[in-house]
Amino acid sequence: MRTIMEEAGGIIIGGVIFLTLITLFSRIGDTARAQSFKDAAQESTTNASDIMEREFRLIGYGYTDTTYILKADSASITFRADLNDDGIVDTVAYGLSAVVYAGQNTTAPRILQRTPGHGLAAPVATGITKFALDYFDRSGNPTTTIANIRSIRMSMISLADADIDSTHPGVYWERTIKPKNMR
Amino acid sequence: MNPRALVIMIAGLMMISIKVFTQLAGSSQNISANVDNTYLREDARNIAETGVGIGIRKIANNPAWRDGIPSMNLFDGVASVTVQDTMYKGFSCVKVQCTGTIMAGTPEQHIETAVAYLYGDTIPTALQGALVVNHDVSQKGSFTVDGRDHDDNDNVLSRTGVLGIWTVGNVQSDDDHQVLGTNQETGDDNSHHVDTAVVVRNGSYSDDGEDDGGDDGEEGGSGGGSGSGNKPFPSSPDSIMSTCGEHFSEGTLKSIAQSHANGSQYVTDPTKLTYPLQGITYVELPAGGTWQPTNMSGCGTLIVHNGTHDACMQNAAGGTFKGIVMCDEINKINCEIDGTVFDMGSKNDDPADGTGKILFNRGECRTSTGQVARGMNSNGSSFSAIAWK
Repeated sequence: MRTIMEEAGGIIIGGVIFLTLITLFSRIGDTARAQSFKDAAQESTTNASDIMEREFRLIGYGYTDTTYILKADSASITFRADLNDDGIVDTVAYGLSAVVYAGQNTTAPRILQRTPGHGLAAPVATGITKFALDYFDRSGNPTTTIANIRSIRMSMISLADADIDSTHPGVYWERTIKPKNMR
Repeated sequence: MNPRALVIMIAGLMMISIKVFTQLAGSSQNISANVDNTYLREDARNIAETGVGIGIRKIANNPAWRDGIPSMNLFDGVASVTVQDTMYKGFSCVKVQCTGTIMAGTPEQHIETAVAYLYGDTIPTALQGALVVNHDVSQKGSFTVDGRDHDDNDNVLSRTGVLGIWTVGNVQSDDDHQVLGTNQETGDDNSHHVDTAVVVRNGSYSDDGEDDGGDDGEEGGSGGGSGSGNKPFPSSPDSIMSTCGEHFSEGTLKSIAQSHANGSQYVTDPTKLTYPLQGITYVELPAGGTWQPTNMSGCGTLIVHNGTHDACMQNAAGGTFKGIVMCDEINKINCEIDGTVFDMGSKNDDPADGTGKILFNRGECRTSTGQVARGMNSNGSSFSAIAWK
């Protein structure tokens, strides 16, 4: 009788320990997966920032007119610059893609895309739920007047395409660029 | 529990643990590496842009500086600055380039390059002499015209000068005055009455700036090209400035002056000027109006002009003016002008009369030209680069 109780107790304690370990490892696994997705989202964001920062810095380069920015709103921008330094002024637009699926809400992940003046839109980053642009004048005050824009603050949230514990791992990225050719 | 099963279970858990923690560590490392990469890239970029900024300041202090900085420690990295004269958008400029390197020689090494184009050692090609005149010139008094290049302390710089006088008419002179020019390697030459490196008579203008009056100046006079490239003598400040490579449509200089960019002023009554002059000073006198005495203390670009081309500066006196003077008429200069004077009018006034002197200063002319061009392109920002990349 005592032996049976000892074995039963051992099984129960062992089971509890086993379940605890399983739960612990499951959590650690989730964290590891979230970390991996966060890593992917961050890499996607930094790649996008590399592209955008380089081109935003060049706004107005090689362009003698003072209308460097053709369109500037809170979610997209169109500007001009000789990006390839080939003597030809390029027109480029950045903004989020349109809603892909019917009924998709506006905060659903979308594609941040770069659209050249003469060409098709190309993806710069995926899984973007927020892409916001704020504009500031020479004194650092917010402005909506294109001619007064001297610096641009870009911010975006990139989410991984995975649901881990009902959350989407992601990163927030923000950068303020002062294009030196916009004077 | 069977001891063997226990061992197997523990071993399995350990393997899973190692796998999970390895993955976790790898992701964390990637995230850190991403941040490091971004930081190092920005650091390298900052080094490069700072290096360009240092180069620009050095050129601002010494327009002739082209030495560059082979290696300079900056922000835990190394900057290498090069400076060269080049062309940008069809006109000459100075290219300042800096390569910023961070973590040199390691796998994390990042290199970024920044470039700025500055207005170069270019002045409008219409300004072919220290004194450019659209009619006969009669030199009187002790007036000095020196086309040799001078620094800010009036020291002569070799081989970068221009003609002393360039005129579409003739030049008559007393013996007391001096005309010097270094449009050729021989440097200062006092045989100014015949030397076409010093004085060009009967010149004709071409916008490539190559027409200095021809090869026949030894005979004292019938110089002046007659090639198909000849253009009308520029008769407005905008058309003169347009020979620097930028195009200034008529009225541009006036509008810049009216914008007060870089301290620019626009007046119709010279008594309302604020001194010292700076930026573009545009004095638009009424028809036949005379500014007398003319106080031209200051620097920049001084324009005395009106629609009837007869705005007159009379008895220029006071302190030194540094830069470019463009006027319809000018009589008697009794002060020092470090730069160049362009007499646009066709009336036979006496720009070379008086006790003053015109000392050509390429640096001042270049600064003035750059200010004007920036005024047009950037609403007068004090930043001196044409373009950054």
